[in-house]
Amino acid sequence: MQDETKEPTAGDVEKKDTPAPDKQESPEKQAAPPATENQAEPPKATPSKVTPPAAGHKPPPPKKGPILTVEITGDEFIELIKQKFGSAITETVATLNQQIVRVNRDSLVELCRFLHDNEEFGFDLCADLTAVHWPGRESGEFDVVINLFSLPRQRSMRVKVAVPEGQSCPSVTSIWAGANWMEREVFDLFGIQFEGHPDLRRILLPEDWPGHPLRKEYPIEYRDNEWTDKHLEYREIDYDTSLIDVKYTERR
Amino acid sequence: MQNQEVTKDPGTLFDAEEMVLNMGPQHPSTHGVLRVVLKLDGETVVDLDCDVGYLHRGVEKIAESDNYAMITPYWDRLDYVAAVSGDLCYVGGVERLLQVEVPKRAEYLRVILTELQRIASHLLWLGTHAIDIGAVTVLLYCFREREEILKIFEDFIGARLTAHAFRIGGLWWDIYPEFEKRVRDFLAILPDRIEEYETLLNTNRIWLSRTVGIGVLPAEDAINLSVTGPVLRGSGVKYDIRKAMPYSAYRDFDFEIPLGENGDTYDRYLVRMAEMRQSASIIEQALDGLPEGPVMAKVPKVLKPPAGEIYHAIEAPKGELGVYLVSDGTGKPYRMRIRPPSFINLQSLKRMSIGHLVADVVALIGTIDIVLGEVDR
Repeated sequence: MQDETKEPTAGDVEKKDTPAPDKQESPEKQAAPPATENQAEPPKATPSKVTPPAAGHKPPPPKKGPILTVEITGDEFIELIKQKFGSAITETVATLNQQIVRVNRDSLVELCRFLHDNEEFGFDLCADLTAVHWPGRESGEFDVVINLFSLPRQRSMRVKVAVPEGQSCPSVTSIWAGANWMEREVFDLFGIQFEGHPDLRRILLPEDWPGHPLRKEYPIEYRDNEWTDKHLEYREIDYDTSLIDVKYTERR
Repeated sequence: MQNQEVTKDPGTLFDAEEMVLNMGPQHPSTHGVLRVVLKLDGETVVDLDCDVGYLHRGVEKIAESDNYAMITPYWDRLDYVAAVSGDLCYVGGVERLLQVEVPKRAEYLRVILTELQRIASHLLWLGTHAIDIGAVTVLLYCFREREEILKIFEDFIGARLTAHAFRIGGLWWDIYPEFEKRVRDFLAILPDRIEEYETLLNTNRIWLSRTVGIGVLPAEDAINLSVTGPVLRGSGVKYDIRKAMPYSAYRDFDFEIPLGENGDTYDRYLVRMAEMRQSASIIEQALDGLPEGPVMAKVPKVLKPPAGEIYHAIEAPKGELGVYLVSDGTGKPYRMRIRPPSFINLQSLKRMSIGHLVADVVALIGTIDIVLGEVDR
């Protein structure tokens, strides 16, 4: 819906890159109902994407609209969660047909246990647990993101919780044992402490690695030098290089 | 009285209660650089700890400084024996962020290639798993068929292993004229060949005694440990993302999800064998119904997905391979998370191994089907 209004600004750059604004994408927007008939394969295509504009003098360029994020309404289970947890649930939205529930840090374990134990909906599979770093965000610099799947209901849900810098996130390993290594990985790469984790150690990086690489402020280049110097000590070996026609360069 | 005194004596060999054994990181049966620390009581495993990360390259960090198209080749190098599946996962995720409709012909060809890759991956798994347990012959037969698939890939894509098969929005190019015939020829011989492996293994008493009842993973434990893929289905849980959350063109094809009953190593073997047959059937259906048309959607040269996020998962040969992409509207992903099936399935090794013999750990690492490139990323 915002597409049309935003078009001149947002589409500016894209227009240059996309030659010949025809075919492929435009029929989908121009004549939405017939095109979706056989093209409806991707199950999670955006719902009711754009209301087709009154067919203008020229077809609009195949530009991307913003991803719509809408408040979830009328979902039985989400309503149930909202009712039970009240103000602890700060956000329930759907984006690209994926449901996201944002919860307060204090209620995370309680919510997860409810999601897991609920007989009807039972999110029994913790598909993924990861984090995103948002430096400088007021509500907390990190987002811990848990992707859940319900085998009985065959539906998925994403739970997000904001964790401020220097504070810990409650561990969900008591609910899904599979979260163990994933939390260790988040601890390793982001430095988020998980409270109640049975065995919180680094998993991918060496024990004495400096810093947490997936933080935004962590520079990529040359960061391994310190560690490498310490462990793979560089020693000068006195080769007789006069016989070899190769120039050895000094290290750094 | 006397017995007690004997057990307290530290000098004798037989009073040792537990022993710690280091397996790997350069052990041939760990399929790469995986270190497993075993605590043993005699020859029985009491406790186990996996040490991973020797191959960590920081792909997720690298992705944050590359543009969307540049990241695809990194996905080939995660699970390098099923590179095409990795491509499909990433490319599918970006396409959903871009809200691009991929042409149907491209989707069908993607399914054909990915299912061929699944067969190739399972063949490699079968050969190495068998050689771990001591059946050397199977490896040679498996590689014979795998070679056919790799040749098909080589002639179509240009690479055998790290394929970089797909482009964001479709395929690089259309198939060459003989492609269909070659795939059909391969499918014609495959069922007989699978039977050949089965005659080598199914009645082999050594194979049976080393797999039946070994590493039983009950369904509840498998789900709780986030295990996916053939390992989960071997425990009898019906979860296949091709059916649960159909992606690409999988909605168009009719296939079954093979399930195991006991959740032991033998059942997981049966599941994978049955999956190869199902894959062959999917490829056949896709070839029969291959639509005409373009293979590439219209996508801008500079990919800038609008701000948003997506979790896109596919059923890779090893389990649920997912990508969690967060876009901030620029040309580079703000965050790319790879959900690696091998890494998460490897957690279940501890649950499976305890109570079994050291020699069974080798069989169990094989049955999970890990690739260390994907475990460590």
